[in-house]
Amino acid sequence: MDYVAGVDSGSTTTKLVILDNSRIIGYHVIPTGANCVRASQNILEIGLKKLGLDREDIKYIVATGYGRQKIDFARSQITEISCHAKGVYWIFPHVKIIIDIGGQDFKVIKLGGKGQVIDFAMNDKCAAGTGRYLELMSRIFEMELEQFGHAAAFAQNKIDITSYCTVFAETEVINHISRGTPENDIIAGIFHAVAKRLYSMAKHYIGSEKEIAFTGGVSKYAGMVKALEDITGCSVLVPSEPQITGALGAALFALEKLRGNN
Amino acid sequence: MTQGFSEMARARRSLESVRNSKKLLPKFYMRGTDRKGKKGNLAWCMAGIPPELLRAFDVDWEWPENFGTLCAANLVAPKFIEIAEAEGYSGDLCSYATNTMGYCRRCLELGDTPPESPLEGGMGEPTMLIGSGLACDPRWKWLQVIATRYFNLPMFNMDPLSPPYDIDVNDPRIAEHYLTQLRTDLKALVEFLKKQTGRDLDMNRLRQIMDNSHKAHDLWFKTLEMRKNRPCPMGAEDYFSCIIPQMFMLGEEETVGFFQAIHDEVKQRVEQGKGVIENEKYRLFWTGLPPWFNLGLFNYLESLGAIVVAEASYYCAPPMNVDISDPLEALVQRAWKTACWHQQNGNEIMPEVCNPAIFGFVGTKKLVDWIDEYHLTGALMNRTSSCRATCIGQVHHRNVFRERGIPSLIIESDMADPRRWSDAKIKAQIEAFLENMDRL
Ligand SMILES: Nc1ncnc2c1ncn2[C@@H]1O[C@H](COP(=O)(O)OP(=O)(O)OP(=O)(O)O)[C@@H](O)[C@H]1O
Ligand code: SF4
Ligand SMILES: [Mg+2]
Repeated sequence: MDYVAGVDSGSTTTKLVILDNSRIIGYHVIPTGANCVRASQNILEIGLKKLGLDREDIKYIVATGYGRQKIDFARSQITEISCHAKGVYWIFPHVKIIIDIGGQDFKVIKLGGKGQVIDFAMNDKCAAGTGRYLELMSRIFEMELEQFGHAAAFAQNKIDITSYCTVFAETEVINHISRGTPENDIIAGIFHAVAKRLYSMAKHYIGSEKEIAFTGGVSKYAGMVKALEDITGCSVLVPSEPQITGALGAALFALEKLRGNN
Repeated sequence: MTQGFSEMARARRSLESVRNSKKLLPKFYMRGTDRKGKKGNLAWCMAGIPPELLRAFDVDWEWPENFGTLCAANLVAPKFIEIAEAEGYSGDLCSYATNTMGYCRRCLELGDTPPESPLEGGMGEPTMLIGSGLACDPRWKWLQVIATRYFNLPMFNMDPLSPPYDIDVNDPRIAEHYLTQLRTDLKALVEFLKKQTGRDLDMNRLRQIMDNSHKAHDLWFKTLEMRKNRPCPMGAEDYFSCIIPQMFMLGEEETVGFFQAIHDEVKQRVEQGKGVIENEKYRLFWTGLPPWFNLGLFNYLESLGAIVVAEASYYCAPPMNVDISDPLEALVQRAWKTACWHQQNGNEIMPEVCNPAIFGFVGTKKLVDWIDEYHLTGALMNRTSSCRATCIGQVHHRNVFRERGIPSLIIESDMADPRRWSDAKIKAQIEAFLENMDRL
């Protein structure tokens, strides 16, 4: 059997996808924690054990994500940008725009007709509006992430959050809470603010496209998907397991490399 | 000194002749110490003024901007910038300017001992300031602040020469208007220097100095032209390292020798078909100021098979043919012709920086020629948050490249302040950019 794998060592979570030819036979998501090397070793062990495979059964591994250079069991390293493009092209071959929001990153990728990356942009210096920011916000409301993601659906109105800065935005939210603004309205406002900020970067890339593929952990917040649809006017497509898109892309590259080598 | 910025790397220069600059030019590095105890004239000045004139008056000079790049390259700029920020200056001001403000504050605090800086003896105690509003507004204000808030000094500010993009510079009436402005300004500068130094201008000396400075410029321009060859014989790490002799040692025989050596080495490489890197996969164009604190970036690019073959910043216009028998008139003519060159080649990109400086920026027409001449495959642009003047045109550059199928990447950082550099993010973007150039 020619199995291949992709490992995405992200700032927040580590993801693994194992392919048998081009069929996904296993995937996992675990927290990265403080040591990305250990997390990637753990996830590989977990993945192999689950399938009853040995290390040797995996013929090619590609690593991606922040920690990619540190994963020495991978045969090659490819950036998240290329891997997300690869993954999305496999899932939604007709979609030309990708928005990925992870724990620290948000990126917009524009694809060409054959799934090749034509252009991309990424947040450079500031992580406000990414997954970590939303986790912090959910904690203010003492909600689980999923509950937080759904709360916006029950909003009657949405409030404006004007600060870019995470800490100031938190103060704004707390002020609203103390003023008695309904929680759902505040949460809808938070997603709206993030979507607006993202749109100012993505607009130029979206152009006249009508569909966007949304990946990364943040696409699991239902409220975020809705806000993005409202602001961009596009339909936003989320893969059933959006967090593993980068690892899937890495695994697909591994498959190509293996076939190329043979 | 480098503590806390472990990701930053100094450039490994490729050319022997450039590496030799330290040995060749001990004068440059020791000038602060040499000056100590001597009672000479020292001007702090801004790019845009003709340094040849200062040399002819035996006035030593320092460029606070360039001192900023030096502090940046040695990772001490944050120390001075933080002092300026603590004084209340905005962190969004030009970081070369805040670097100077912090340095001036330290000078006042320390009295006779120069602040610790990459330059032995520091920038010295100025006796006069000569400014120019060329290129951007911070330059205009910066020396005024030094003159009024830190040291009480005589100051001369030259008017920037910036013919608007939509005029016909070949119309003799328009040319005469600017030439008159230039002559008046230059005359006033000569008077100012006479007054400050108490001596007359020696025309023979000025002529000799200009002859040398034009020879050096000629050699430098020819060297840059040779970078069009494949493989490219000289990269950005060497290019940016050559700014210093151009700015400090203008008009000297030694400088001519320095540029001759670079020229010869580059020529030899071309003849031998030798490049900076063996496998040249990507040939990049660079716009914006470099991150001086991390010129090692260019070596990193080279390790990925990418070489920067041309740069928009500090690009010198071709040498202008001027008759130096009347050296003052030659300065006027040179400034005017260079401004015209910039106006005609560069005004679409940066109307505000079409200027008489030796260093300039290029516009669409040139860019399009360069795509072919330099065999460009991509462009890398540094968007420096504290310098608007040098990056406002990048979007336009980008569109021009895009229309011609040349991909480009904009990274965001600064020229002097390493606190604005996110290494992992920037490298991830660069790698993704190169990876995908392969697949286009
Ligand atoms: N069940 C969930 N519901 C909603 N959001 C979630 C859920 N799980 C995780 N998230 C969000 O996803 C984020 C992590 O996303 P992801 O796993 O894509 O990050 P990453 O790839 O490690 O980060 P990066 O790409 O920035 O390096 C978390 O910060 C959190 O906000
Ligand atoms: S051009 Fe930019 S870097 Fe130079 S002085 Fe002006 S603001 Fe500063
Ligand atoms: Mg990720």
